[in-house]
Order: sequence, then structure tokens, then C-alpha cells
Amino acid sequence: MKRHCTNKQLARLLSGDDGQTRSAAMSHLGLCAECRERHEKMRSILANRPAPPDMPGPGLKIRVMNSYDEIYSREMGASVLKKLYGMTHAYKKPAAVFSVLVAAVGIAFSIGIIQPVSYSAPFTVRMLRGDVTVNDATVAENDTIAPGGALRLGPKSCLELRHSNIFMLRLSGDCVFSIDKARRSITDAYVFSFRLDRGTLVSRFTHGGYTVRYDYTTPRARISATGTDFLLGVEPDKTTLMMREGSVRVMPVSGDAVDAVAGTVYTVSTGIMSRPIDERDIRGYNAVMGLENGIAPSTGPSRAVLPGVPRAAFREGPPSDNAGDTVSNDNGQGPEARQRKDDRQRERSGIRENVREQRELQRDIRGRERGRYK
Amino acid sequence: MIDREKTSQLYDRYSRQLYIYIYGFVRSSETAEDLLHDTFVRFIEYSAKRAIDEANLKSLLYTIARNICIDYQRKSGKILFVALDDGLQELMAEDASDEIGLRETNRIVNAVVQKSDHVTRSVFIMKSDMQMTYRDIGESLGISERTAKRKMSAILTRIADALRENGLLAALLFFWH
Repeated sequence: MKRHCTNKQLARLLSGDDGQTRSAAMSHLGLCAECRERHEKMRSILANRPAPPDMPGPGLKIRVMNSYDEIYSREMGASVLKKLYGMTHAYKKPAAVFSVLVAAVGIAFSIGIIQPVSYSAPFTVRMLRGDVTVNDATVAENDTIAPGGALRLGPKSCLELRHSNIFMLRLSGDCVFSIDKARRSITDAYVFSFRLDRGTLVSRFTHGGYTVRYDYTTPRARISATGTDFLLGVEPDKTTLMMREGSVRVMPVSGDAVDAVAGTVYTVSTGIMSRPIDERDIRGYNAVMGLENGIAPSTGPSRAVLPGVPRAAFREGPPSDNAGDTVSNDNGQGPEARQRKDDRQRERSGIRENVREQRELQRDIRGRERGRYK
Repeated sequence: MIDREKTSQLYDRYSRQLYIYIYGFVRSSETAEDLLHDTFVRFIEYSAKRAIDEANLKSLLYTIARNICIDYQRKSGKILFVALDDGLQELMAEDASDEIGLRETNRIVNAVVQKSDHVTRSVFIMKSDMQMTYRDIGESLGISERTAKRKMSAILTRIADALRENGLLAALLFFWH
């Protein structure tokens, strides 16, 4: 080959593309310095390409994996819908009947023939000491706390929550507590669900006339019962339950459930341990109930006396040695007589409170019924 | 749908190559990052709808990346590289100073690459920027090794012609034949 190489021939040599003239071009390069130089310079174009940028950081992989999670959850949801569609497609007639029924129930709900089975039951703050917030807003006495409210109590704070006359809850100290569910059905059944992440509480429900179902969830266990009176304490590594009255079922995170009975303290940690209630437990209970510092609970549901524990140990109100200071015109009655009088007054006050709340409840129900048949 | 662990492994294995490949198209590291993310997202979505053939995984990823780059350019509605004519005019202007460097040469190369079809452009990026063998290029793009070589040869010819047509080669660098 006597003529100089064309660009095409040089490009073929560089790319390794075997053409008919490749061998001739190769031999020409051996003879022609000019073409050899062009060939080398052309090769340098490829060799001197700008270096690619550094790889993106780990943040991009995180973005990709987050996107994976989103797509996965979306696709799984779509997959369930697709299966449902497939089922309805396979059973056209039953599906049509089912659809008509669903539509009928929907219409019945919308025009008020059928009422919802339950409604939200807010709680009222009856007593409050110290710093308490609900969902980061400050709480005051007589505020109502709706389900979903997350309460935080500062150290040395206490709070009493009430719902009508059937439920009283006293929180004390550094507490983190939330109301997950609080409902009342039209069949008078109450359903409550709470979570205590830290701190101590006393829970008390009334008996009779109501069906109450409730759960307390703590990091270590779930307490499930109907109508009872107990103290529940939560620390990072354990949950303590002091049963004062009734019985509850304790379900630890790991291990078998236990039916807790009155007069016993249960400690749930890696397992469940139990022991009888002692004086120290009673003092703890009284401290939460404000019986040692005069912060007695507002009139609450009826109480029972713990089997084997003197009633006086759980007596509400200031201790008897202070009672003498406050009662000056008792006509020389002894401390026991004064105490009986105080109890009677408190009982009467409790009855009045109960009656008032029952009336409020009845008004509330009548209002709902009026609204239903408008 | 492809599982999470497998996706993570594929990212570790192919992200660098794909990133350089995409960068070759868009010439912007930030855009390349976004498009690499989009490539994997589209791949995951694809895997939810169809079974993935392990043998064609690499080819599938490159095809998705290329389509994403094409979509991006179409949507952004702009030429990402310096257009050939503009680049050469700039080059001519700087010719007077006899200081045509590598940067300008690359600008012309990029302009020629930009004007090429997507497969040819992919071959050029893979060969020159990623130093891949023709066999790997062929596997990645779903073309034969021979076709990859021909595409490379064709684009090199166009680059040489572009430089020659502007009269730069005789005075400066390369080709005037």
C-alpha cells in the first residue's frame, strides 16, 4: 500500500475491527512514519479521556434501598388487591351479593338506621400536681384527654384521670403514659387500652352495671383484666404489679401468662416472680394515691379491702395523727369517731358525685339518641 | 420481585460501572447520581412485574440506564454536550493562540459522541471511559463483539474527520489526509 492510510483504516486498526485492508494498513504503518504518528495521536485521544468522577457516597445506596422498601410495600399491597380481585372474579355471584350487602349496610349507617357500635370516651383530669403535658401541650385540671393522648409527667408530679364514675387512674412521678383506645359501645361495654412506658400508676375500675375490658401494655408485659384495683410500676428493666383487688392476667413479653391474684406483688423481668404484699408496698400504693401527703383522689369507684391487709392500711385521706389538728369542733369525739365521720362524709360526697356523673352520662346518651332520629 | 439482599449485592457490583456509563451520557456527576438511582428504581419495579433472567442481568441494567439517559435528555430538551459546531468554533478561536489542549480536543470528541446514536455512544463510553473489552461491551449492550468493534471504528472515523474538516489537524494535532 503506497498511499497514506485513511482515517477509516486507522480507526479500524485502533478498534480492532478486521477489515479487508487491515493487513495492508499494518504493513504501511511499518513503513510510513507520518501515518504511524497519526495512528499514535489518534490512540492518545482515547487514552487522554477525562477521568470519570468519584463514585457517589453511601448515601446513594441508602436512597436506592429506601426506594426498594417503598416499592416492595406498594407491590405487596397491590398484590393483595389483585388476589382479592381474582377471588371476586372467580365467585361472581357471591361477590355481587356481598357487594349489595356492604352497600346496604353503608346506606343504613349513613341514614342512621344503624348506629356505630362504639364512640370515643374521653378522660377528664380531676387532679393535677406538677408539670404534666399531653402531646407536648400543657395539661390543666378539668381538661379532657382524648384517645391517642400521650401524657408525660415530670418528677414529683401526679395526675388523676377519670372517665364517668367507672374508672379512675392515678399517675405519679416521672411517667410516660398513653391512651391507645378508649371506647364505649352501645351495649354499655367499655374497652380501654393503655400504655405505660415509665413510672407508676394505680388503676381502679368499678364493679357491676358495666362490662369493662382493658389492657395495660408495658415494655415487659401486658396486663389484661376486668374491673379491679392494682398498682403498676414500670422501670427500664422490670414491670411491677401489686394486686389489691380482683384478678388480672399478666402476659410477659417472653414466657407463659400468669393469673395474678389479690394480695400479691408480681415482678416481671426476664421471668415472673411473686410475693405477698408487705408494708412497703402499701406505703408505695398510698404514696401514689396521695394518702401520705394529703392529695387524696377525687371520689372514685368503690374499693374493696385487700384480703389479709388491715383496711386502715389503705384508708384514704390524711393520716389519723393529722386528723386531730384539722378537726376542732368535734365535741370531744375520739380519733376513730372522727374518722368514721370523715368516711361517711366522703361516702356521701362520693354518692353525690356518682349521681351527678350518671346524670351527665344519661344526658349524653339522650342527646345521641335525639341526634339519631332527627 | 427481586429480594432486598440481592438488590444490595447488585448495587455493590454494578453501581460504579453504571455510574461512569451514565456520566458519559450526561457529563454531570449530580445528574448521574440521580439517574443511577432511577436506574435501580426502574430495575426493581421491572423485577416486580417480570422474572429476571440472571444471565441477562447486566445487559438489562445497562439497557435501563441507557433508556433513562435518553428519557432524561428528551425531557430536559437540551444538548448536554457542547454542540459540534459550537465546539469547533470555539476551537478555531483558540487556534490563534496555538494553545489547543487536551480539553478542547475532548470537547470535539464529546460533540461527535453526542451526535451519534445511543448504541454507538454506549460503545465509545464503555471502551474509552470504562476500558471494557469488546466482549464485555457486547454482553452489556446485547450486541455482538463484531458489531461493537464496528461501532467503535465508525465513531473514531467521525472524530478524525471532524478534526480534519476544521483544519486543525495539520497545524496542531492529527489528521489531514
